[in-house]
Amino acid sequence: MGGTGPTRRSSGRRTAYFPPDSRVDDHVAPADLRDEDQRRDLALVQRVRTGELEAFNRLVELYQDYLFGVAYRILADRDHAADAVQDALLHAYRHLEGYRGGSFRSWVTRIGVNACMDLLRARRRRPSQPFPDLEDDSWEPRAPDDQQPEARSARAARARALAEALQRITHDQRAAIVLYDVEGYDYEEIAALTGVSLGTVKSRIHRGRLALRALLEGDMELFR
Amino acid sequence: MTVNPAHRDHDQLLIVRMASGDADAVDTKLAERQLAACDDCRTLLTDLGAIRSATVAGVLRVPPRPRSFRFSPDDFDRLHAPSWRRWLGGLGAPRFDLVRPLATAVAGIGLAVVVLGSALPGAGPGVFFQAAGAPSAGAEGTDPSAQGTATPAGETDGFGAPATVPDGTKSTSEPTPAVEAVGPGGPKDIGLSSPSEPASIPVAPIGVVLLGSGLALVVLSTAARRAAGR
Repeated sequence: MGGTGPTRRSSGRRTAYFPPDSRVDDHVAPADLRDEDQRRDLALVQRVRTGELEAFNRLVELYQDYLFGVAYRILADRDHAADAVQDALLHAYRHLEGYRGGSFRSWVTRIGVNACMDLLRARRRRPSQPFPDLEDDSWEPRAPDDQQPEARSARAARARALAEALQRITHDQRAAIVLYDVEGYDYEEIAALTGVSLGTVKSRIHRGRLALRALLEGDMELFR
Repeated sequence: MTVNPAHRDHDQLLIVRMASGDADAVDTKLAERQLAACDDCRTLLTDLGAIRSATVAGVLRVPPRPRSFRFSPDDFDRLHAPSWRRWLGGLGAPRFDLVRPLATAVAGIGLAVVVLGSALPGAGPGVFFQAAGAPSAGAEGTDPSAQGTATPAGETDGFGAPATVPDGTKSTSEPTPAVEAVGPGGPKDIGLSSPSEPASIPVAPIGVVLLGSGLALVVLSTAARRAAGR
């Protein structure tokens, strides 16, 4: 795909009733920075193609955290997310000739999302623990000391409820919602990333939101 | 939580589409009418916004990645290996871990069969066991019923060959008794050799095949694990 990476839905859309985005990550970069990133990525890919293998490791370093984040949000399991990233990077290296410019980030994201979907299909065939990591929050960074304990525990409860609900909707809906709400891709980019039509993406997101709300109905006081 | 019965008939997806900014003018008007008339639809709209805010605001935290995904020189070597080696490496995946113990078991059984076959008194490694119940050559007893009369189709005439074809005529493939002694008890089968050998199981070759296959699989599995870097 020849997209330029996640483009925040800021213009050209009908008025949404949802509140404005208040994302805390920096996944959505300004356009000029994205162009710079693309030039850098393209140069690195060219170096890999000429046999400079360390250049690929530079790309790995640039995208491994981002890919792991996407995979973890879709899979909700650290080990599976790590496996998906590993598979995605191996696939990316083997099929680097398939990258024809444009956003390397989007290209590698598509490979990563496909790896997650493959793992989810395998997990559905061999179901194990349904929400493996949700009980283990030992990795959570320590909350700021000035944060009230009630606020901390409310935040943790909200995160857990949302993560559990996300794991209960279909994986197609989950991937679409994660890519749209968390990663900041627009509908067309998600359609290209997941290989489905624009209408299907919208339908997955809408139905996913409705399903999330149904699942969280008893916990809505955490979110209000 | 009680739900207004009329709310069940309301199109909730319409509210979601409107909230997402994906409804056209007609749908938006319909949704607004629905919202004006139904408290539950208004609650739905508020809830959808709250859930989305939590999703967008980074409530879904990501743990630190468990390892670096950088490729080591060995990884690159494996990736640049010839296709047969990559194929071999694929066989070294954990899902094929059961192959080695199975192959070892097959080789063990093969070895046992070869040893047992060789250890039989008076038999070399090429010994053949006779199938259980199969008559051995020259060991047939007398058969009072074998008096040249037609027997039902499918039965043997004591020589191990079909006695008659269904129309009652003698089968042309039937061996002719070499000697038929006629005594007080009537004609008597004195035993003769049948053209077909009794069924036998080639024990030693089977053992050798099992042993060879098992060993080959063990070697393949070991090589696959090495190719996969395990």
